[in-house]
Amino acid sequence: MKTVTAFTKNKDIKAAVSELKKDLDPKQGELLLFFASSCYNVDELAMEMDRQFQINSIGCTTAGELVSGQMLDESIVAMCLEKDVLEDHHIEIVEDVHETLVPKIDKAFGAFGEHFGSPVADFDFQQYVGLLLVDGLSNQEEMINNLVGNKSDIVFIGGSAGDDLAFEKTYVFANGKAYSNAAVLVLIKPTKGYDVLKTQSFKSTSKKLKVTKLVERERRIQEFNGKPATQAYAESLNCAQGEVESRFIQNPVGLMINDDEPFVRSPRVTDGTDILFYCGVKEGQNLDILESTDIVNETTRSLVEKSRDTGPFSCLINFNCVLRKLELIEKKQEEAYGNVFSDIPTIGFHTYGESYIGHMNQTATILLLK
Amino acid sequence: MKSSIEDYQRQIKFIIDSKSRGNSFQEINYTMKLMLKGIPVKEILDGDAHLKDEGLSDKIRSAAKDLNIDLPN
Repeated sequence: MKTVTAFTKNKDIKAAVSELKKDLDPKQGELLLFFASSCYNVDELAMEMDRQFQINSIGCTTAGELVSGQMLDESIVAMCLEKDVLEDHHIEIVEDVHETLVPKIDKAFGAFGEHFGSPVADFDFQQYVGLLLVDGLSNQEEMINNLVGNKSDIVFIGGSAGDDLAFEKTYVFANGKAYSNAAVLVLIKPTKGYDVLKTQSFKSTSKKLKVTKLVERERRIQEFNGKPATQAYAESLNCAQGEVESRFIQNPVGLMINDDEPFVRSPRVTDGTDILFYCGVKEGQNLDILESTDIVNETTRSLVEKSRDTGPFSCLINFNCVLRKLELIEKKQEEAYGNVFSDIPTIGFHTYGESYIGHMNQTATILLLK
Repeated sequence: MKSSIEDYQRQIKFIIDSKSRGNSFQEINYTMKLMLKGIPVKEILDGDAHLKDEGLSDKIRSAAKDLNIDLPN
């Protein structure tokens, strides 16, 4: 059975959800995924999705939505995962992510183990995969990913909720409720298997910046290579210190797992000679300055290779960084990017950060279900 | 007693091998998990002469504890 996706731009919530329901078939669904613009009333939307679909649901607010073949704004996108794709799942909500996270993550994993009948640490990572949606303004993604990664071999993939670049409040959804300052974790047992794709469109310049002074909790780098951060960054790119912000999107930095696989950390803004980042870095980390390449070409190539090597896939969920969206808009490539996903049922959203082992930026983390 | 670079290399390899159990996908994942915890895995394994020792032993022991690994003495 083909996985079906749906979208609506109707601003009347009841009518919008009815439209989605008409296209999807909740009778066959195991889990409903939906991603919505922050222009919708979140409490009303979560409740209405629950009322009309009457199946488990998760989702979040976005900085733009993705559906098979299209990039959208001010919409709701949805997909019902059915039994032929999803054998079983369990949803856990972690509230108040700024307080006592360790016992909360322990509790969530305890509940996963209880649901599936054995401790999660014993699970075969090839038979299970996790989804992770986090309040995109919580600054807690590094901590959550770290704690989740400590618990098992299972890969959790996901994104940070957005609010259409207002940077005021973001929400995650689970089973009829909207939560802020929270995370939703879902452990999935796919019926026929899965794969993950992490793709970013950068190459290393081989120029290194070592983090020598920072305020970690603020994602603030004060010094690279023992020099004021903006000075060291500007010297590496051979530009004036006053120009560094204009280079951030094209030249973020990356923690390199090997020569061509960065975990991208994106500079956000300067504050004096400090540089503030969209995700966390640690003192002593050696970061490569990156140079952007073509998002559409790189994403197409990665998806084609993945489909050839481990496909075919029934559907995919794309957590795409909002900074990639901005670059696509600047290069007038929105339609081309949407087209990359025209042949496979797709939903996704533009995030305030992506999750895959850790927290990162300017990346698409994609879950492909067979 | 001060640890040497060889000690760090042994500890890092022990953690990654114990967790990945020969699976190359998990080997990369656990390498990345350690790097994201602030451990300079590549520099340690490459025997980087400029590696700063400050706090490294504690970081590796703390990571092992997080990952439920008992490091050999």
